[in-house]
Amino acid sequence: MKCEICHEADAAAVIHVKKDGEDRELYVCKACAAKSRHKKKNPNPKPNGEGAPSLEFGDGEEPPEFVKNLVEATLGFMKGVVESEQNSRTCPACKTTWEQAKESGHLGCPNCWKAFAKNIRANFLSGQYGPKHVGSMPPTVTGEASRAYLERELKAAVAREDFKRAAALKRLIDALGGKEGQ
Amino acid sequence: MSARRGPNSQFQATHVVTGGSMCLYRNDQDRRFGTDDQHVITELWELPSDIPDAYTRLEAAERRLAAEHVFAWHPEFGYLSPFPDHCGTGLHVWAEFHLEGLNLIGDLQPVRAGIEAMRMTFHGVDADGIHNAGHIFRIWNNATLGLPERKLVRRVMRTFEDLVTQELYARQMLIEDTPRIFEDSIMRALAILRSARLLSPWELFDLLSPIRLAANMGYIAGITGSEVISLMAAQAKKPDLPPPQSIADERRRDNRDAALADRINKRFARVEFTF
Repeated sequence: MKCEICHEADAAAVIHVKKDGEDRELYVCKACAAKSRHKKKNPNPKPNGEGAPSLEFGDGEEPPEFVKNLVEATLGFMKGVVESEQNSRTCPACKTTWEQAKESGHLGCPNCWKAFAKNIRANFLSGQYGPKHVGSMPPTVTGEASRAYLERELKAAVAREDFKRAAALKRLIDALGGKEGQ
Repeated sequence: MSARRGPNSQFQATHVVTGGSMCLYRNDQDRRFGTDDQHVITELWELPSDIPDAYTRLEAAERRLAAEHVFAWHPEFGYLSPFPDHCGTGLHVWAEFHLEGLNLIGDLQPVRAGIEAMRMTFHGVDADGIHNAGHIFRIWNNATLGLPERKLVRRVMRTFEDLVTQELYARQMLIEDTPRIFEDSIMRALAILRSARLLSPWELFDLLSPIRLAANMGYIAGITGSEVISLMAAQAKKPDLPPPQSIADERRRDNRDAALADRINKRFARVEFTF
């Protein structure tokens, strides 16, 4: 009887293989039997691809263990990269890093909220009633702070030399920006 | 022993909630965050039903402040503060509750869990190794994002009102269904206050809690509820001594506790439980 793998030498051994989900017995020559044993002992792929485990698996079939490990390791690595990128994020206005802010529980300036928005959403907002502000808005946003009124107040503040109030009013007028005539 | 009504009205909300405050936190847009620069607008209230009116006053004060400042604001996060978990409306409503009745009938833990599930902080006073001393709790809303101010105010008011009702029910249950537990806690506290030879300020604070309950319900003669409250407040103001490092430290602590015990023994010698 010829070897069922190489079809050249005489069969001298029996090996058990799994093919299409079925256990099969193969009658093989000594050389092919040795190769098969070597494959079992050394599943790591060689540079020339010899002895590499098959990457093919059918629908509903579990992927091989090494594929699962590889996927997990890659995902873990990617997560680490994303986390370290997030932690090293820095506020361009006050130079506070996210790591510093997280450790102290204290942000550096209003701009930090914009710079760390993703991190804040992920780490701090789970205990809130909702994900977004739905309450009142400052008059500078709603346009309620009338430019004409503020300018009148500014003139009056300058006239009575109340420069602190004048500076505050000037800031408000600047914040209104292009909303001329409101 | 059957339960009798005391001479004073026993079930008053003012005996449970000793008032509270509400604060709006605002920060300037063009300044770095620092604790000194934060604007804090505060209003006080006496009963939970006063909370909406207090908010109206707070709103007016905020409008006046807004005429002079540009507040840090973000369309998604609302009013910005230095603390990443404080944003949105920036509105916190605080209250102080005396929950001795709930403690004595054993319902304090479920009530606490319920309050915490409503995103509120429930904070007792811990000192000198005594947890939740005096069963006085400070409660405030943790969450400030995702609800408009008026809705938040109504929700907090309802929660506080429910808590007051729960405590008043507990007090009623205590004298009607479990008078022995009520008597036991008062008699024990009185016995220690009359005869202890050493009393630390925080132990005294804890012992005065059932006395305050009985005084509020009119079952104590010889001391008024308001005197008990001021005695408790005086103890709360005393700083904790650090753990004794030497014999001299221990002696100093003992001397303080002995002087306090002597004063309290004298004050409570003629205080009677009249249940």
